[in-house]
Amino acid sequence: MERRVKEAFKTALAMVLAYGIALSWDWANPYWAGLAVAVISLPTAGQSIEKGAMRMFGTLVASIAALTLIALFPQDRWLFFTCTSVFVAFCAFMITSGRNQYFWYVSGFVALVICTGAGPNAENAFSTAMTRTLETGLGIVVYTMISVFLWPQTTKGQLEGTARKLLQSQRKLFQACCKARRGDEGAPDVARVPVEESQLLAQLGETLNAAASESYEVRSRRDEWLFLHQQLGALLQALDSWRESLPETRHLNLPDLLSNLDEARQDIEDTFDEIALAWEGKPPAYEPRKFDLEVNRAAVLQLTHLERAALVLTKANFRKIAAHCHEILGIVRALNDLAEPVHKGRPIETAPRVSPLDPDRLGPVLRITVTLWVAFLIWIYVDPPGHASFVQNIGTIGLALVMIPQVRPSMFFWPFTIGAAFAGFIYVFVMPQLSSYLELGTVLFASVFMICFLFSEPRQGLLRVLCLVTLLALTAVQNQQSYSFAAFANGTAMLLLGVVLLTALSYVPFSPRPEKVFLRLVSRYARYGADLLERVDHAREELPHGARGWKLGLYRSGLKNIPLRLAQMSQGIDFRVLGPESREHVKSLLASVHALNVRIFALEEAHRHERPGTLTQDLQDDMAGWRHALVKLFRDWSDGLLAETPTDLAQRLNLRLAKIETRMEEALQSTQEGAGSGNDSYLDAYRLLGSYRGLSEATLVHSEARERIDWSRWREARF
Amino acid sequence: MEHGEMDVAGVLKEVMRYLGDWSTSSVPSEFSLGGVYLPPLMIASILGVIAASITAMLLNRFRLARFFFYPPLVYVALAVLYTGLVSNLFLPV
Repeated sequence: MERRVKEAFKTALAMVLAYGIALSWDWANPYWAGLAVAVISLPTAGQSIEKGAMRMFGTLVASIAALTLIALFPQDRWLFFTCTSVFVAFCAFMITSGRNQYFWYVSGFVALVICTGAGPNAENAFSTAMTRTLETGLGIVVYTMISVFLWPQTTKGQLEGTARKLLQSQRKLFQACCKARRGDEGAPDVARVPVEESQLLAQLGETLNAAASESYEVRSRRDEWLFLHQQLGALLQALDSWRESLPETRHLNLPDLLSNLDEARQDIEDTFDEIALAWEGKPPAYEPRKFDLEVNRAAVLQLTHLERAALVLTKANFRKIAAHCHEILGIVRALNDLAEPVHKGRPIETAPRVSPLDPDRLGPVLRITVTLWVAFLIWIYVDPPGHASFVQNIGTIGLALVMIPQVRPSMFFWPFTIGAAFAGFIYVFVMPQLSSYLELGTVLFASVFMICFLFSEPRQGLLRVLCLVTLLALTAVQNQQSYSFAAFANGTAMLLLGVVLLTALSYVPFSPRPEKVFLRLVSRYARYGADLLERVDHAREELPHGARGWKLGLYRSGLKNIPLRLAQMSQGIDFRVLGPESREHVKSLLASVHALNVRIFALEEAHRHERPGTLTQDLQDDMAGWRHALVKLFRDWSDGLLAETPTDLAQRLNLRLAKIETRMEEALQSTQEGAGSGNDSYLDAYRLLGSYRGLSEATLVHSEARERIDWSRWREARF
Repeated sequence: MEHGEMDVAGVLKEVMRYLGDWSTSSVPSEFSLGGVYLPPLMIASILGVIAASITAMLLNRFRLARFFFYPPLVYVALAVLYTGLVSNLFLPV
């Protein structure tokens, strides 16, 4: 049977059972159980369990918070609304942290539902909160049982599959870089940003959580999986860094400069082979060797300082790639019981936190607070269709928009309209003819099956959930069923008016059009870049406390997150209004931002590992001058000023490079150090020089990408 | 609502009858759709919003929106104007 038929059948069956149980126990609002089923119906049991658990815990937290608020402010509606909106805003703030988003989403909107539903009439507050919790639990239990026993699809297989696919992809990237380095004919394009690899890495992290909640085997080895995830991320970073630095070493004869380069490359290839064998549970056939790349001192002395700097960086990248591959082999062997765990006693890094000061976190919080207050005031002074449900609807959609910022409120219009039309047909023409649960269950099953079958693609997930939610909310099945067209029309008007209000508010204060958001993000990226570069020479100091530390955290997390948001936003841009070649221009701009990011963080790392020494001290002033020139350029970009053309910029940066070369020569002569001596100060200077040069190259490419875009057209006002 | 009384032909007949009345009557009356009465201002505002959306789309398409300082406000103004126009010319509110 086709996969989508099975999935639709499972959801429809769970819906009928959840409704049947809730109605037979005479619980109020049985559609709450149906809503839980609609939302947690995901392809694998693990994903459903994880989402269901978050929904359950979120509902519990929301119930406690809502009952507390109702108990504290029973007689003062303004204080009550203030505290409710503060709680919802707090949940929105936590959603933007990127961790346990669904839990915070449920906590926020369920608290709002209970507060606004039971607040004005506190008599039923406790039973409302308990019914909501019970019915949510019922929906989760019913769907989980069905997903576990009926055509179960486990996440463990998916987890392994994703890890193997990512490794395969990384191996291909490594091979492509090797071919590009050798200048082989027909070498694959390495200018491509490894987007697919980043997506697989993110998917691996998500699947890991789902698999851990479903499988004891994965849960008991969670640390090993986390360590594997971390090492795969580090390997991707090292490969990406090497890929970006390839143009600087293309003209160098690397096998001559690094005598055992081919041996090291073969070792990495063999390690990848061994990892593939380990996944299949085959005993070890190859033990990776740990060796350093040997530098041919005589050949290196013929190079310019910039070439030596590029060589130092390549060597460091190669060493990192080999080290991460060896670690990954050890973990995969441990996961397949072929070796002892390798992570013991070693810290597992968690994903970097998004700074609390990030405008992408504070903006949505402010927006949801304003939206809620507008909805409250409309409820009190205008009494819109749906009454309290109007506020609940707006709060729920508003929080959903915080969770999925790339979606615009107007995108909810068609799912609600389709769902309302379908629900209207069922409610007006079909339901009045029914007289037993057998008949109602059949109609429910058919309706839910149809929606899930028609919108089964992952990209249609939002449409599917919204159609189901509209159907369940507007049909409002009860044991003592009554029919009122006015109630249905009011429900539909409430949903659509909510979308209209949210759309109107989304234009305040800035346009939510993807190209405008893109423009603002590009500007902010340049500003953060300038701010971080200004402070990059302090990178080796510990992260400062207080305002300075917060600011640095903001710039770092901003630079890391903005490229992802830019990529998200670029998918929604209407390129027809921006010129025929704008799509390609945006692609190259995104690639250049990615390259710039790799270089900025490489420079920061080089400064962090820099040790005090004569050579680097001698070059400090020149490097600071170079950096200040870049900072000024970034500030001009951020202010939207007409910065110098790429040709002028290239000339200026090349002049500075030549100056640094001369200074380096002088410094080397004065310290009497030779190339390849292994002296720390010497290596630090080359590492820094290579990082600055890489950043300059990336800045030039970015400048060219910016130059191609007709920004005046992007800035034009649009509806 | 009385179920079972509304069929497609009936709805069309109602709509045609109402359309016929618009040009001749200036007395405000509700819009009847199969026995469900809708306020004329609601119909006028829906039509007004649709007309404003089409105008905004065309202005975007031909790059004319760039002449406005703040297009969202222009959109609201257009919707109000169209609603007024529809309610004065076609639907007596």
